[in-house]
Amino acid sequence: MKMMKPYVWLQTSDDSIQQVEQEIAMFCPLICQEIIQKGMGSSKNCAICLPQQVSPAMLSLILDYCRFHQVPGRSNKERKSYDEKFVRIDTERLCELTSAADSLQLKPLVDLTSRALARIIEGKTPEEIRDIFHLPDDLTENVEVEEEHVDDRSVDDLLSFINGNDGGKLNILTILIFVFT
Amino acid sequence: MADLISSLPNEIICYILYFLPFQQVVATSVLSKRWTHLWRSVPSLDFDTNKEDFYKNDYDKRRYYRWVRSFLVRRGDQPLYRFRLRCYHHMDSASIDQSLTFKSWIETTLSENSRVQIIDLFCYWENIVIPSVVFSFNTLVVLKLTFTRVEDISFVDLSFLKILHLEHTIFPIEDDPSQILSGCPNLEDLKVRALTSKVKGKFIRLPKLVRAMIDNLLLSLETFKEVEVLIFDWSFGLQLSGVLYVNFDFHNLVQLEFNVYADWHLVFNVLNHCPKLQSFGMSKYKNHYEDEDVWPYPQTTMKFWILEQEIEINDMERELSSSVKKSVTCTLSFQPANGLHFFT
Repeated sequence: MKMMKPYVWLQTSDDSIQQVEQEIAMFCPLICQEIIQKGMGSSKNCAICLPQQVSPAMLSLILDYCRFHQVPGRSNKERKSYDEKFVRIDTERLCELTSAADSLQLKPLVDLTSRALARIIEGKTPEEIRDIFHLPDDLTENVEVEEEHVDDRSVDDLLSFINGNDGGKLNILTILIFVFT
Repeated sequence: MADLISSLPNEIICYILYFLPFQQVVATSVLSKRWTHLWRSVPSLDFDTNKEDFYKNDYDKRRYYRWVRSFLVRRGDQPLYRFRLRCYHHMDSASIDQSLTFKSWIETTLSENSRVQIIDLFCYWENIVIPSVVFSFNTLVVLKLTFTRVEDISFVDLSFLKILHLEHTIFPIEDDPSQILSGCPNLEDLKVRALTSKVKGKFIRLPKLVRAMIDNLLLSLETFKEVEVLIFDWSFGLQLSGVLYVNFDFHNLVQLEFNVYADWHLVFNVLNHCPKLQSFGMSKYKNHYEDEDVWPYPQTTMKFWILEQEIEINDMERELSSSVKKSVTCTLSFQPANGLHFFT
């Protein structure tokens, strides 16, 4: 008979079941709760059902992350450079990873990926952000925003201001004027 | 192709936006219907004129200040964790009413949202007055004040504060700036630079302090006895001489830096009291130490970075190296300093 239960059974969003080292899986608060509070995961028949955001690919990435950070005695510099490399993935996977980490309540990873996503967005115009995330433009030409906030200055004033600025920032400025003035 | 970000809950999107400057956060309101009101829930106001190219004239400036105000009002009582304001640009209209504007922002921020953790204010050209409520706002974890004026520090209760940076901050003449520290028992990181104070060399017990950057001896060196990182920083007209004499060990100190003119004898006096030192940096020095001095740390690997003219680096390198040869196990490496360009 086994003295310890070094492995835990996890079921991912595609209904596949896999065995992973318990010590590493326990890094995710959600999995930890399932094991400790509900006694789940000890066999294939009572595998822990992970949230649907966690695909096998994402689980494998998350476990890599946990495996690295679980090793004691690593310096902050090592951890930092690992983290930096870890989030150098395409935006689509980064979004999936954020969502999966959030569903497992793995805060340090959510923090890491959120910062990476913020860096992607930083300095981009709304048009560029829409392209990056494939966001559908369901606002019809900002009309709603415009109606809500009536500009107290003349249209000429606004136009001359906009024309005085160049390309990139124009969009953001226009929005700020509509939202706030 | 599917919308990549829509699977994320609002809280996560707000958390992503938390890291972005104010203008960009507001600009996301036109991305799509879902985003129209998300910006109001972003728990951060980060207004940095260096990140924008808008600050062209007084008209722009007044308008942007109005927007900051508007931002604070419109988000209502949504929690705000970070209030960061960095203004680098000079405008002629900087005046008393502007300082009142800033004061009212800070007060609005602190009264409507009881959870502010980070306040970071840097306004070189503006006359920002920090209301006394800041110093008793006990959810604060980080407080950084640069080029500001403090109203009143007669009552300080910052029991959660971990990071305190005070630079170029003016205190009322009758007040002793070190008084603030008595109200910060959990402080881990302290930076005090270019403060005007009549009080010098006061001892304040800061049991959790790990890192300190100081420029004059507002506090006694014994205050920093337990720190791991100690940096003597430069400010106008300051020379460390005579004042730097210690007769106790910094037993936890691993990193020591002098960004200041200091006499080699004094530097050595401090070095002699750092048994665990791993990294030592010196950006200016005056006297060469005598040849017969033996490098006192045979077990330690020392890293040096020296910001001086090349000839002096060579001098120092040669002298230190020759001294080190007397002890077998210590190795020296010399590397130029990074990020300290204000010396040149």
